This record gives sequence, structure tokens and C-alpha cells, in this order.
Amino acid sequence: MGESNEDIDQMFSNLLGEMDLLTQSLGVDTLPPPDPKPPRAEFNYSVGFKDLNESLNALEDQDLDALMADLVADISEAEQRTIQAQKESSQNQHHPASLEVPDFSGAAALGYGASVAAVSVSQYEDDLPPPPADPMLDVPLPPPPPEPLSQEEEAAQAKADKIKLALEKLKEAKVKKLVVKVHMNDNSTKSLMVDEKQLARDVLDNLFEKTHCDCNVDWCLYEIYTELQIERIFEDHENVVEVLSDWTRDTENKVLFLEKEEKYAVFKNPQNFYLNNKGKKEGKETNEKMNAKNKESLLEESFCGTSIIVPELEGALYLKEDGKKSWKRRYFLLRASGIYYVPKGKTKTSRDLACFIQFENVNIYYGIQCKMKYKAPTDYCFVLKHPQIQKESQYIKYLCCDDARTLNQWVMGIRIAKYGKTLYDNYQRAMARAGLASRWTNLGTVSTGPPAPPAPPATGLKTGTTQANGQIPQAAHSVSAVLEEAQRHAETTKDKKPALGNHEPGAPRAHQLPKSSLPPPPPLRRSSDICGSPKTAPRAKGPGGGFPAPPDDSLPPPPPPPPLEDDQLPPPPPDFNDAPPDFVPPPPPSFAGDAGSPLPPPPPPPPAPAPEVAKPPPVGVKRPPVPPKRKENPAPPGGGGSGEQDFMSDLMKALQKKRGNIS
Amino acid sequence: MAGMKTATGDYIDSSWELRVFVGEEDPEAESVTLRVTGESHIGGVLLKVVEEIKRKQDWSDHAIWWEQKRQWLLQTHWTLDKYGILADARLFFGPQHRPIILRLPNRRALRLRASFSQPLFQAVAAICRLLSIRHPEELSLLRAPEKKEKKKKEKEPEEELYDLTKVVLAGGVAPALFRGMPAHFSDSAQTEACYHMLSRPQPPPDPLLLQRLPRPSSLLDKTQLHSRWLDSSRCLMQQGIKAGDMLWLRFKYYSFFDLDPKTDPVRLTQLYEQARWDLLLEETDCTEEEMMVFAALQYHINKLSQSGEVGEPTGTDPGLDDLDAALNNLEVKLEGSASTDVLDNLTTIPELKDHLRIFRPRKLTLKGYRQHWVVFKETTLSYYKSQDEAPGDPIQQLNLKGCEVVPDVNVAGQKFYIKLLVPSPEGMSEIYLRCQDLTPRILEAHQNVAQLSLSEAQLRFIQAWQSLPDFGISYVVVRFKGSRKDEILGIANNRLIRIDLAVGDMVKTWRFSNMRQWNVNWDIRQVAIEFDEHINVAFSCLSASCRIVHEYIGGYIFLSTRERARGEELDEDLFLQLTGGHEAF
Repeated sequence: MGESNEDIDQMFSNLLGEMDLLTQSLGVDTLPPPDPKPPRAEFNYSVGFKDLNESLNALEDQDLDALMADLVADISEAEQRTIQAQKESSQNQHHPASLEVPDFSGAAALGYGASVAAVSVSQYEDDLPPPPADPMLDVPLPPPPPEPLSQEEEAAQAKADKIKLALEKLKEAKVKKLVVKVHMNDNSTKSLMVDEKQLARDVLDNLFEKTHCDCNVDWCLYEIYTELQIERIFEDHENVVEVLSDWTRDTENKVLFLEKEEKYAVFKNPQNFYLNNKGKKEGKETNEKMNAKNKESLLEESFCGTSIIVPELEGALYLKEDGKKSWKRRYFLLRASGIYYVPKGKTKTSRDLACFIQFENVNIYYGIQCKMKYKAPTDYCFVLKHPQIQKESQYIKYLCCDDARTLNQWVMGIRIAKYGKTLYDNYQRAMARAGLASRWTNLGTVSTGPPAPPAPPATGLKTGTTQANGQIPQAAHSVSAVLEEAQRHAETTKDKKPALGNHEPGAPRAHQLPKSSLPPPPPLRRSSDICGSPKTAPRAKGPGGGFPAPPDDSLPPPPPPPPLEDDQLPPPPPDFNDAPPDFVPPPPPSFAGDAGSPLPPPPPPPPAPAPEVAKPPPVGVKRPPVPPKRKENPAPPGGGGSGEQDFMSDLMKALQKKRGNIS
Repeated sequence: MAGMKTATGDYIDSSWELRVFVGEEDPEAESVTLRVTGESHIGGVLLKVVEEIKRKQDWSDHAIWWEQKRQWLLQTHWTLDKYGILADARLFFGPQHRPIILRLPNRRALRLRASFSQPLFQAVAAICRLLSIRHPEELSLLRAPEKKEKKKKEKEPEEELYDLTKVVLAGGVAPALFRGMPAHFSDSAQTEACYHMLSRPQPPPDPLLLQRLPRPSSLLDKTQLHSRWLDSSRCLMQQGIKAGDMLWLRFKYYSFFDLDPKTDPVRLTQLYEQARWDLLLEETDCTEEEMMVFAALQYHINKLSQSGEVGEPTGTDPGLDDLDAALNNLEVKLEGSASTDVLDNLTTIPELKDHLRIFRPRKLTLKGYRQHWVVFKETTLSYYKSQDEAPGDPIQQLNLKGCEVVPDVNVAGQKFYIKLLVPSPEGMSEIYLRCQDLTPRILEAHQNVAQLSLSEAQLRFIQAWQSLPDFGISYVVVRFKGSRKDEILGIANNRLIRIDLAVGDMVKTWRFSNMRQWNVNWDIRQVAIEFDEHINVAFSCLSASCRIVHEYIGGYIFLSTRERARGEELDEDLFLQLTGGHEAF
């Protein structure tokens, strides 16, 4: 591994750093004062540019240096963590040594700790003067020097670790956010900012904070497909953004926050699912009682062994035939590996069974009013479909049970088969959460007060608030009227922020306004939400492919997410500490802005949403337009790869170019 | 000792001659004759025997076996009277540990010394300690099935016999690890090889051989095996086992406690092997889809084990982990051995290109497969008219994220297709790719196993096996009280199942957790069980002794009392209490 590796190594680090910085500068420059970032540089390039590539091109060496300096700060912090981790893992002693060297900023880097921001500033300034020979460049060489560790492997390993880290960071940098309108059971709605990393559990916790409900384990996020008339419970471990990303832009789907006793029914009364004796006659004694101890041992037996036990379940169900409205009765069996049926003239032995469906790629839903809609024999229907399918399709499977009990058994059985132990873990977390909540209420502290005790809200706070505020301003600057309006809202809220109590209802509303003013209809899912990721690509692509949704996930748009940083950076700037969770809302508007501004080509027309989406194609179906100035990069190959890649390679090129100059 | 006169006038004291054969039960064994009285202690007798033999040797493992009573005289402070031994007793002075040949779960044969004098439960525990298998209470020994005379003509290939008879374990202490294996295996190349045999999966059996092996054609056949279990509370000697006999070592109770890939390489491997054979020989049925999973895992496990990659996983690639793993694997596999450079692996996005034939079913399409140049990168599959056009616009591009990959393979028909179901809001679109001979790779990729380490894959295999509805059921033919027909009793780790012998349907289930008590009437070979709510069940055992059924029930109840906190400590008394019974001898 000669220079090339080092090169790659360095390039990666550089890249990653720049990503961070860029995103920061794009999204955050108005960030609170405490942000150490060299204001000058950022304004210079971030504001007025229409797209990233352009801005990149315009970067002068100086700017690049600035980027790098920042990068250094960031990376070093990250690396420090790795080092620590590695130390802990008790690698041999050479190891840490060799690692430290490669750290770009060397000793300085190690010192960063909590005050990253501050440090980076000073460093940055120091470094600024001598543009070329800044730390980064020198540093990469070191790997071998200090002690010619013959341990090449270790070095390689260390490098690999760093790269992993870098990749992680890159990923983090892409955090996507959605504003989700959640329907409460009193017909009101609440808008929540949900970032890409949040699980349904986090969102629930967040909602608990906002609603002062009793936090019992039955509360759940509930997904309703209005058009398909199907619905299901979000599993607590599911990533909310990911699920919502499958919705189409014009969807009428909804997310609800409500209590469903079915959610964890199996853990409350396992006997109803596990002791459903096969002798059908006995099955009629429904809901047998069981004492707590027996329940516990039944659960232990079913969920805590080397592998979990899926309830034995079999019986005749009606199956809706593909694409028809007729229903056929078949004998189905549930196994851990899927649902099977007994083909005509065959027996129930395993070998004869025909696989009806396996669970890896489908979710289970309740079918609503299937009797009416599909002429189902009863209304006790469940539905299996790939989460991405949003319209009626022969690939959606409808099954119909004779009664509610059977339906619940099947749905629960399938969830157990699909999610396994995770389901139990979720339940235990939910129990813990419920217990915590009740304790709090008993103490009389929590649920009431705006004073927001130290308690649970923590997570919600962190993610939501800070970033939101950070992003807002910038977006506004760069985009048009609507956005500006949004920004104004945001800013006002921001100003008020300190004063606001935790649960200031006003804030969220304010945000919604800007959105609603947006032309298109999508009630729940504003396009802007979707584009929360700064990345432009999705837009451009979406229309062309005809698959509106997909772009988001696979093409990681280089997101601006200041969010990440918040997570990582110790405590957000002082101001933010106070920021109440409710604050979250402000961000939405900003997002809209964000999405627009960094976008490569034409700054997204202010009223971006749905309608546009359909037409935008002019740009080029799959390929993000090649940045004008950047001809040196023969349009990044990956037609499909799209925006991100282009952006990345541009970054690299820029770096290379620079490096070239220097050397 | 007052003298007495017999009717013939001979003076006698209370002493008499006791003949003790030296060696194992053998009519022609040498013997020594001692003068003893009823008051002589066994210890004294042993001493005299050794003196008489006049041979220098370590006799510490020797003890006296009383043939007629089928009993070891192990209480050295007991007198002959207390044992009830008279001059006509046939006693054999022989070693308590004798060599046997074990047929392991992986079907390999291993010679070792086992205790012929301790209850089998302890003997198995000692064997497991030697083999480095934790939780010996889950295993037991079976008699080898009788070989059919006919087949003697076919000479079976000489099989390798591993030998551990010379290995001595320090008692009581858990063997320390040395060079990655328990220290007692590291003494010689032979023992080391033995450890590898124990701790690494065997290559899959020859399909031809496999075909010749018998498999159960009915539930009735599945009951056969269970008639051969040895009795845990009696010693080997008492059960008629002779030195050099072959016995099977198997996991008997399907309740695997604290299975830990890190500390249990031998246990895990042997369990995997037992599971594998169980499936191959169709002792436990599964569906075709499930068999695919097993096949993929077996393939993967074998590959790792052959290549010596026994170590822990390389870890998943963090940069790619949000890609559809199945596709990713497929990609890696198809690509073959890519660069081994860590950095490359981490940073480059693997790209897969080849000529493939593609078919997209559409209504009214007559076209068949068409050859295209296909490039697969990240989650995007693009295809072009030809390779030359590759840098340009593809004919079509598909984002495969979340898509289903269904291998459609028929080796005999030389058919190797991959069916892709690509999701979209409107539904799925189907695409078929036709490939070269990629069977195993497809399997592997399909099942998403390529990233697993050896032990993870084994564990996954075991888990999938455990998830089968018919897993872990031991079958016995019984006649329920009041019933006129034979039925099957299935014994699982948490319940008893009444099964219709003819149809195979489960008629009724009783859980151990509801069991109040059970009794065995040894005379009429009947087991009677009382469950909660005064439910009583009684049956007589036909295909196996009722002691085997009794031991299964007691054994499972014993196993359910294990607690993590106690670790590997065993309450042997409890086990014997639960499984021993009071059978009259």
C-alpha cells in the first residue's frame, strides 16, 4: 500500500470534512453566533450560488483551505473517538501510536473534546494564512513515520477504520427530515419533525411529551392508506422516515397517534396466541385466563430461547384471487418461514406445502371494509404487500378470516414470524417507558410543566430544535418569496424562542402556514418535506423515472444537515439549550428553502411541490444537469448515480486540483 | 472365631473361598482365589486380589463387577455380607473405564474411554468434558442400530477412527485453552486433528451415499430411534455394553441452553451436524423454501470451513449496508474474487457487468430473452444494447432497492434464472435474468448469508431448524388408556402431543407447565400423568420402554429448571430423581 492508499485515505477524509462543512455552510450559516465558523468565507460562497457545483467551482484556494481547516476539526474529533474505541478494544500498544499520527491535525486534534467548535475556529484562523501547506496535506504522510511499524496490516486496519468512520459521517451528513402531520385521536393534528434516524419509538416518546398521555404500551403510530383501505401499526423499531418515503407525493395516507390494544396483545395474553390448542373444539373457550407467572414462563419459552417460537396457526381462510373480486377458500398454515397453503389433493405434510408468501419483503396490514370494497366474505381481512406498493395491484394479497379472533391471531402470528425477538424487545422498552411515565406522574413533576424537567424529552429536543433554527435563515436567503416568508416565520419564532415554553403551541402552527400556502395539495407529505434533504437530485429524477418516491433513499443527496452535527457536537450552542421541543416545527419552512437552494440547476421554483414534480423533466431525465462551469469533469459517469456522485466527484476534483497546485 | 464342625467332621471357620476373575467378563479370564469371610470389606478384598496377581501396574481404576447381580462393588467399606456375596458369586476385577467407539453427531467415529461404572449421566458428562461440549445434560447415548447381515458383502470403505483413549483429563477442572483449543487436544498432531474434526463442520455427504441411507417413510419409522436410548441412571456395564462397542452420542433433549458461538465451538458444530443430518435424512420435514435456506447455509458453512476461515466475521461493509443485502451479496458473488484490498472493499462501489439475457414479461409480448449488456452498481441495474454503448444512455435503468430476488434454478434442466420483482407504487414489475451456472451462488446470495461467519452461519442454521414446526419432537408408539388403537406420543421440550398414527394430525397437546405429577407403573409399562384441572392421561408404551418416556419427561422438566445464574453447575441428584424412577431390578 503505497502512496495511493494514503492518497485515498486523505481524499476521503477531506471529502468527508468538506461535506460537513459545506452542508453547514449551506444550511447553517445564520446559525447562532456561537458557531465558530468563519463567517466571512461562508457568506462568500454559500449565499448566492445556485448550486453546489457552481459554488464549488468558485471556491478559491483560500476557501478550500478554510474548508479543510474545518474538516480537520471535525474529523479529528471523530477520529479521536475511533482511537478511543480501539484502545478500549485493547489492541496492542503500537496501535494507538500509529493511529494518532495519521490524524490530520495531530496533537491538536486530540485536544478537541467538547469544545470542538471553538477550537476549530482558532485553528482555522491560524491556518488560513498559508493556504497551501495546511495541516491536512502534511498530515496524511505520517502514517509510517513515527515508528516504522512493520505492522502494515495494522496500519491498513487503522485506515480502514478511519474510512469506515468517514463513510459513517458521510452518511450522517445526509440526514433527511420530514415534517409529519400526525392525526391525534381528538381529530386534531400535530406536526412533528422527524429525522431519518428516528424510530417509531422515538417519535412516540416525542408525542408523549407533547400530549401528556398516559404513555401506556398501547400507544402507537398507525399508518392508514386511505385509498387502499388498509392500515397497520408501526412497529416501534421501524424507521419512520423510511416508511413514509414509500408514500407517493400525492398520497392521502395518514399517520395517526392512537391506542391499539392489538399492538402488544401477545405479551399481555400470550395464551391466546400460543395455547390455542389445535383440537379445534377446545379452541372455543376463548380468552382463557392465565396467571402472571405462567404467562411469563410462556413468554420466556417463546421469545427467549435460541430461536423464537412462532405460534402454531393454521386453518381455512379466504384468499382474494389475483386481480379478481372472487374469494377462494384455502387451508393456510403459518410457519416461521412464511405462509403456506395445502394444494389441492395434497396433505398437510411439510413437503407438500406450497409457499404462499414469505415475510421478508412485505408488511402486514388490516384490510378495512373489504366486504364492501372487494366483496370479501367477512370484514376480518388482512393484507400483505410490499411497502412500496401504493396503488391497487395484483401483488397485494388479501386474506379473509372468519372472525376477529382468528384475524388477530394471524396478524400477530405474522408479526412474530416477521419481526421475531425484536417485537419482544420493543414491548419491553414500551413497558419501561410506560413505567417511567407513571412514576413521573406520580411524582407530579413531569407531564404538567413547561419547565421541562430534565426528563425524557431529551432526544426529541436535540434533533429537532437546533438544526431547524440553523437552517432556516439560510434557506430563506437563497430562495424566493414563499420561502422568504417561511423564513420570516422561522426567524420570528426563533427570536421568540428563548421565551417560549416547551409546549408553545403557536410555533408549530406558524410553520404550517408557509406550507399550506404552497400550491399543491399533498396534505401530509409536503414535497418540501421529502426534499428535506438538500439534495436536489431526487427531484430531477423522480419525475423522469416515474417513480416519485424512490429517489430519496438510494440517492443520497448531500444533505446539509446540520443535524448531525448537533448530535455529535456536545451541547449545542448555549442558546439552544433552552429550545423546547416544540420548536421543532420551525424547520419545515426552512427545509423547503433548503431543498431549493442547494439544488443543482434551476433553483427550484418556489412553489415546488407535486405538480411541478410531474413536469420538471426538462432538465434531463435521469441525469442531473452537468454544472456549466465544470467541464473538466466529464459528466460524472454514473448516469444513475446522479446528483450526489457528481457533487462528490466535484469535491474530489477540487481537492485534487488544489493538491496538484500545491505540490 | 469359634471353630465348627460340619456333618462330615471337617473343621471350618466362617471363612470361605472367593474366586475373582481378573479382567473383563470373559469365561477364560485368569482368576485368583482368596480366602475371605462375610465380614471382609471390599477394600480388603481388592487389596488381596492385587497382591495375588503379583503384577505391577496401576490398579487404581479397577473395581469388582458382580456379574449375576449386574452390579459394581464400589463401596469399599461395605462387607461381603452387606453386599450379600457368597462363594458362588462371579466377580470380575476389571477397569472401570473402558474404550468405546462413539459415533458423533457429525457421523465421525471416535474412540475414547468411558466410565462403565458410573451412572450414564455422569459418564456422558465426562465424555462431554473430554470433547469440550458444555451442558452435557442435553446429550445422551444410544445403542448403535443392529447391522443387517446381508450388507456385509459391500465392503464399507475403511473409515478414519479418531482416538482419544490416551488422553487423560485432570478431574473437575475445566480444561484450559491452549493454542486455541482445550489444552488436552494440543498434545499431539492426532489429538489436534481430532479437535478439528470435532469443532469444524464436515463437508456435505456424498449425494450418492446419502441416497442410499434409509429415511423414515412414516411417523412409525421415526419412533425407531427412540427405542435405543440408554438409561441415564444406570452404568454402561449394567446395560450390557462391552468394551469396544459402538454407541451414538446425540443431543437428546431439544432444549439448548445458552448456546454461545464463542465458547461452544464443538457444541455448536455438533449440534449443527445433528441438525443437518436430521434434515438430510428427513427426520424433520421442511418445505422447499426452508430447504433453500438450509442449502444456502450449508453451502456457505462448507465454503468457510474448507477455506479455513474459521475466525470471526470480517464485519459488514458499513458503506454499503443500506443496500439491499441480497443484491449486494449476489453482486459480490458474481463478481468473484474481487480485490482483497481492504480499502478497495470499503471505498469502491462494486460494479457488476456481464452479458445477460433479459426477459420482461408484458402482455402481448412474443419476444423471448434478449441479450443485453448489464451493469449493476449500487442498487441500480442498467442495461444496454451492447457493451459499446455502456457509457451512454441505457435502455432502461431499474432501482432495485427493496426488490425481491427469486432464484429460479433447475440444475437438471440447465436453467438458471433470476427473477427480479421490482417494487413501485403501482405494484411489482417482473424481470428475468438468465445466467450461467450459478446455482450455489444464487442460493447463497438469495439467502443473504454471504456475510455470516462460520459460527454465525451455524447458529442461523440451528435456529432455522428450531423454527420448524416439527422440530425437536421425539416420537413413541403408545396406547392410550381407553383407546383401542395405537397412537403416537410426541415429546417436545415443553409439551406432550397426541398424534394420530395414520394421518399424522396432532390431536391434543399437554404442556409440561400444567403438569402436576406423573407416575410409572413398571409392571404394566404404563405412564400416568395428571395435569391441572384434574386432567388425567395414561398410556402404555409400545415402541420404547416406558422408562425412556419417563426419562424424557423428567429430563425436560429438569432442563426447564436450569437458570442462567447457576452456569454449568448441574444438580445431578435432581436429574436422577426426576428420571430414575423406581424400576425394580
